[in-house]
Amino acid sequence: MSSAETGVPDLLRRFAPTPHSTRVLIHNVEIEFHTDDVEIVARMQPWTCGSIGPGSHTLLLAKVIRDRDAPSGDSGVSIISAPPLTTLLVGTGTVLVLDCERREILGFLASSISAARFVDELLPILLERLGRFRAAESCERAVRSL
Amino acid sequence: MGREVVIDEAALTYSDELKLAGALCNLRANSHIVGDTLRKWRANNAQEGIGAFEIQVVTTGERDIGSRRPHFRGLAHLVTASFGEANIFVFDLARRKVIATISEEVAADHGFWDRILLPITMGVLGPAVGVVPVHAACLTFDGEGMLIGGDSGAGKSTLSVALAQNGFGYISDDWSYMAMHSGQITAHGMSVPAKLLPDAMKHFPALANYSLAPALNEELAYELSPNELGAQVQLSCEPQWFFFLERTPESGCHLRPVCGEEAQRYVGRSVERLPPELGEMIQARAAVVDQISRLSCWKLSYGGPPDTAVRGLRAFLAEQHQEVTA
Repeated sequence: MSSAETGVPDLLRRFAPTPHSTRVLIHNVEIEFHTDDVEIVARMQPWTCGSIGPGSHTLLLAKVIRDRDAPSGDSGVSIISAPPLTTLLVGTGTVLVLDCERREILGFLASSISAARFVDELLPILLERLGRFRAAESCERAVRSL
Repeated sequence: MGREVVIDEAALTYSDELKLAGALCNLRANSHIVGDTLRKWRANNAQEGIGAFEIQVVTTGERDIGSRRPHFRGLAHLVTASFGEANIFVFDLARRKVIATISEEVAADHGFWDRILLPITMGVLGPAVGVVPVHAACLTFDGEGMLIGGDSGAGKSTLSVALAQNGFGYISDDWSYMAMHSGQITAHGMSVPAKLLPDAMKHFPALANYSLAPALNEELAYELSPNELGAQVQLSCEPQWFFFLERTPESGCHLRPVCGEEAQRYVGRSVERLPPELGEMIQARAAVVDQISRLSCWKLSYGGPPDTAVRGLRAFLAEQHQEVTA
């Protein structure tokens, strides 16, 4: 339902539609990816691993919104690490949060972040963090089973 | 890559228990500065809260550069807020937790926490702890609580201040935080300064002693502590009435009953929509809104200076009280 239909403004942009989706395998992580930016989907094409079907297994769900109203800037990447959450920021307009427990990446990209930069630089940083979290989880499980 | 801040729970050596809009909040930080700033919100040990959440704050050595212009976004159970690049907040509704990295300036800035961050925290995280923020002023008279709703610009703050200067207890002038406590609907305030627009000067000449400044929504306004306006501030009440404010061109004050659905619609228009993933919170919120709709609901229409509405409301409450005691 759109904001116009409910009369309640979607100030946080929680309900932005994500009409484009793909399933990719990157860094050994299978991602069901939803976005409103077709350029990101196009950029991911080399890693496509099949269409999304019901009942199929997905390791990570990602929802990324192109945010044309967000402040743009050329700042470097900042990370706030607070397991199980990792928050990646570029300036204040681009913010991506990885929830390692729920296996989700949710976030917004400012206009200044190209699809290429997202796919080639930002996404791998988060996937690497997920890998570390999973490794730590495995260690913990192994210790508990002793 | 640029900077990285690790929020390591073992390094959060400062811990305190706060009470915000009836909810208990465990504050954990890597320095005592935030704790000192939030001292007035400390909970008494014996107090029980309606829900509990945690705020984990790391104060970095970074300085505030540029403006603290707010930027909010949210998806599913996560909401982010930034106030410049040095002050980042992540609200996790599923885990009832806020994580933050802030500058030392912000850590020590009472105004930032009291006027901006704590009300926003209860607005965003409220659904996770049973608190529903309602766009309504809240006052009391002879021990009876009342909400006064109305769209922005309807004059809620002006009327609230006028009522507070005429013997009404003051809880809030704009947003009230509703929750169920021991089976009763309760309204809480956050001691946020009253916000009066420039045209309120004609009703409150004392405003000439204060300066206009941009409010959070960038509107120019006088923001004053309710105490400075002579108000008797209270933290919470059990409301019996919900008045919907409507300004009329004709002078005078009229009250007419409206159905509870009006209250439901009004609250529904002012609360942030929640995504379907947060189904339990949606249900809990609906239960609180249902209780709000059971309050005695009235349309309060008035024209002329706010004193007109003050007199009208006092007469109405006295009449209702007589009817009950007769």
